[in-house]
Amino acid sequence: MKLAIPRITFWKAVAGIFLLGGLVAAVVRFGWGLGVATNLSDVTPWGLWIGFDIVVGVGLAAGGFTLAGIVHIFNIKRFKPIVRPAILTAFLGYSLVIVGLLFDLGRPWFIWHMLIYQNPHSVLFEVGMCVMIYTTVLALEFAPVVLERFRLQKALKVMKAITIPLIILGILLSMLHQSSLGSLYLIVPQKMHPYWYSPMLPVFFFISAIAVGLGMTIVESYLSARAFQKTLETHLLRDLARIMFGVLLVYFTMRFIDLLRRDALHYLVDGSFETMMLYLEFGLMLVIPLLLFNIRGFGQSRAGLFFTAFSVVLGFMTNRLNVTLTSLESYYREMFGTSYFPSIGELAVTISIVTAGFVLFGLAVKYLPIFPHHEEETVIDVNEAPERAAAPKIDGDPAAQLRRH
Amino acid sequence: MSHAILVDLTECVGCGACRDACQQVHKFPEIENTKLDAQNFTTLRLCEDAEEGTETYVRQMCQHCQDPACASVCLVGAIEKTADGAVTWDEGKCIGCRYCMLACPFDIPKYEWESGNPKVRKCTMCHQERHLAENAKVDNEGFVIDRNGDRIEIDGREITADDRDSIVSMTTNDDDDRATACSVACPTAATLFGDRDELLAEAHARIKDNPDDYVPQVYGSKEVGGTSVFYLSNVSFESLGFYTKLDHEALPQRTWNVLEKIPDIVVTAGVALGAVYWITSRRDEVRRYEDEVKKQKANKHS
Amino acid sequence: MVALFVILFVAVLLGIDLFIQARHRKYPIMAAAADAAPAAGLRETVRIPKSVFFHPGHTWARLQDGDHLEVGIDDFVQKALGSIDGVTVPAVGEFVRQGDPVITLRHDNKELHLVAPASGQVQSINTDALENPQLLRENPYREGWLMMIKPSELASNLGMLHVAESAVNWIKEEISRFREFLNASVAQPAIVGESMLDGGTPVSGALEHLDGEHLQNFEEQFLR
Repeated sequence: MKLAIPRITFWKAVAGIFLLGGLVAAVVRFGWGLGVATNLSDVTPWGLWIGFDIVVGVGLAAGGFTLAGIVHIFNIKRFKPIVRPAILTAFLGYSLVIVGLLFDLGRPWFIWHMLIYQNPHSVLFEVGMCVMIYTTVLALEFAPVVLERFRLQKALKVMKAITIPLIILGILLSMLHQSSLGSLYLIVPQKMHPYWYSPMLPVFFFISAIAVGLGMTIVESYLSARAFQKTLETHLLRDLARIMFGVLLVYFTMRFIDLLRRDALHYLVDGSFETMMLYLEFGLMLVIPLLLFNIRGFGQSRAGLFFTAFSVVLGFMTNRLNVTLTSLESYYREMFGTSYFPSIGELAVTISIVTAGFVLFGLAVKYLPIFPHHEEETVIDVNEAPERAAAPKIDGDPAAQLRRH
Repeated sequence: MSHAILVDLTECVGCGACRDACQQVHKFPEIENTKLDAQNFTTLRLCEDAEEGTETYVRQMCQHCQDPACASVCLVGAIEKTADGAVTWDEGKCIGCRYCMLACPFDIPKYEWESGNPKVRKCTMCHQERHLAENAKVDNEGFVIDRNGDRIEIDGREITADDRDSIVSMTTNDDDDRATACSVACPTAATLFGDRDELLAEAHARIKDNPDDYVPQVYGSKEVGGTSVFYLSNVSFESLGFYTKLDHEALPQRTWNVLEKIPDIVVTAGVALGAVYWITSRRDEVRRYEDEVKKQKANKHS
Repeated sequence: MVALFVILFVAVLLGIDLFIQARHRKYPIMAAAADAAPAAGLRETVRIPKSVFFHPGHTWARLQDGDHLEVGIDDFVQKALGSIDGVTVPAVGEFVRQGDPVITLRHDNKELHLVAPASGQVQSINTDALENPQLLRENPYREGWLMMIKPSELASNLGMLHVAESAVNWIKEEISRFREFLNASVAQPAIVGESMLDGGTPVSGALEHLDGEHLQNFEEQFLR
């Protein structure tokens, strides 16, 4: 055998290992506390779990409100087939963000305190409330899928009546908390590298979330096409990519003007680690996708679109991790001579949360009407077509003769 | 009355009495630690400058900001700037997000990383301890109770009459006023506790009266909008490792600038989205109607 | 450092995935069981949607909005041709008649002419697919549609066309007939590929190996 393990099984095995690792890490985290499970410290109180599970996670789930807005508010109906997978990803994404938060909180069992001890001056309070309400809104936006599956017509009718207010609410909530994730860092101007600290952080976070929401939708569509033969039409994804590039160009123009205005451009030639990370961010999120998209014959194909969007997603991750972690590194080094790198336990938890996202998405696509109803078709295996014994027989077959002429 | 602490580094001889008293009053193990942590609310560190030939002992503790970043970021409002001047943390509210630790411009709040029910810890300005003398009543099991008859707890410990007496004695100064344990213990009056305005005036007076003995700066009076812990020194604060790059504007203002716009944003965006929806769906309706009309006309002609 | 690590980690996973995919492409037989993605074209299959009407000349038509016919080429001829370099269709407004050769597929400098599955006036053409013939390979029944016509004699036209089970049986026949055609046309079995040896005759790209004369024969025998 040239290849012992077929592909699906290979990734299934990997997913199993990842989930198992996460389980072990979870036991350590909740059994022995944050100190044992993580590399967090008094100096670096926030690490991978905040940076990736929450800040990146919420961003990657932005496709839900973006697509819902495009289709239901701007009434561009041809994107309708994409709304469901996007809302599903958003719902799963936010649910997993909350799981990640429960890992990170020192006293997760008090998370409901947010509801009764409200501090309206806290950005985190605003983020927390928005995430909580928005997850509920997403559950409601997703409800028709489940109702359809179980043919609950009355409930469906009710849901249909409140669709538009629900979607407007969802967009407002997303605007608020997507941008507020950036506002979280407005309070530490003296700790962050000038590349990433900007009074404009909330605006940047919001705009880039729209772009990556579109990018994630393309990526998901490609992956589900591979795994489930359930897919969306390429030309729709191509249009999404075009919108994505429009948003990205606005975003990077603003970033550039911001760097210029804050007089941070002169760092660009200092050859430091931060500079390299900034280039990586710009390269992955803008330059490489633009180049890929414009390769003739490839950029417009399904695979080309996937790589284009995937690069944007990677660039987005780089940006969020740069804001949350890279930008603080030099401060920690200078002040305390330490740096932060996540422990095996932190990595295991984060990886298993992402894996859980993939698995749940897969199950939902398999059992719920997520992708547009596909035309039934018969697929004939060429080698199963009847072999006919001899040539003369065809000539003698009047039906074949008739058909031929 | 808002209280404050004035630390005159020129008076400090580095005896460590402040640190020991702090550890004692909070029932922490007495170790000489140079780093703040969950069981060290104040540290004493020697800064030597070989060129100038100066030796300065530097005390570090919570600055008790006037407009604290830690309190503003806390989503459940567990951290509070009290009228007393102390910035306090409420165990009953905290959910353990540690945003306060990130937000603090002085990197003060510390965490019980090894605990299953971790607390955020930092200097309390002996807030509860200073008020303990007001509660003289003891219940029949020997625990101190407040006016409502509830047992008083400090750090989750119920206080016995003996505890109260020792704490009260540690937080009562020679003038029979309540003060922080560190200031009571200080033998050279390097750490003073008192009314914030009075101490600030005192600090400025000392600089004015003895300009050769001090650098002309009261550290803590302007940083991040002013704090309730002031420092005087005869060498530059930067060389002593103080956080000298801080703005004079209070940090919470930066996030409030954004947060206060939220109601406007919600209303504007809500109306805008509603309008866009109305226009686009109306356009659809009109188009459908026109198509209908066209079809009817076509039918008539044929 | 963390950001860099995360990006590299994701990139490595993507790399592993690409490597595995590449191996599947190299050993398609092993992949067949695991991967039936039509877009990947790993297994030799021909797709027949239930709601599409097939002309015996391997073009299809589908009723849209009740009064339009979407027209394209079928999966069989697309697969047999292997790759398509260019497509030409009549201009908008022209009238096409069922059975008239109006669609031209180009491959290298060879041409194949396919007939219109029904008569009518061309209403619009799929410029996306004309500019990017790759779309015909991805899905000849959806993204790869070629033109929209307004049918003029739909009822009588439909009589000529295969649909559903009839289409399935017809395509099966066609595949068998195509094998025989290949065996007869190609003296050297080696030309059509090594897999001849394991008994199966490949359909994919089989036409690429035929010269002009045989292609002419194919057109006459299969595309009319």
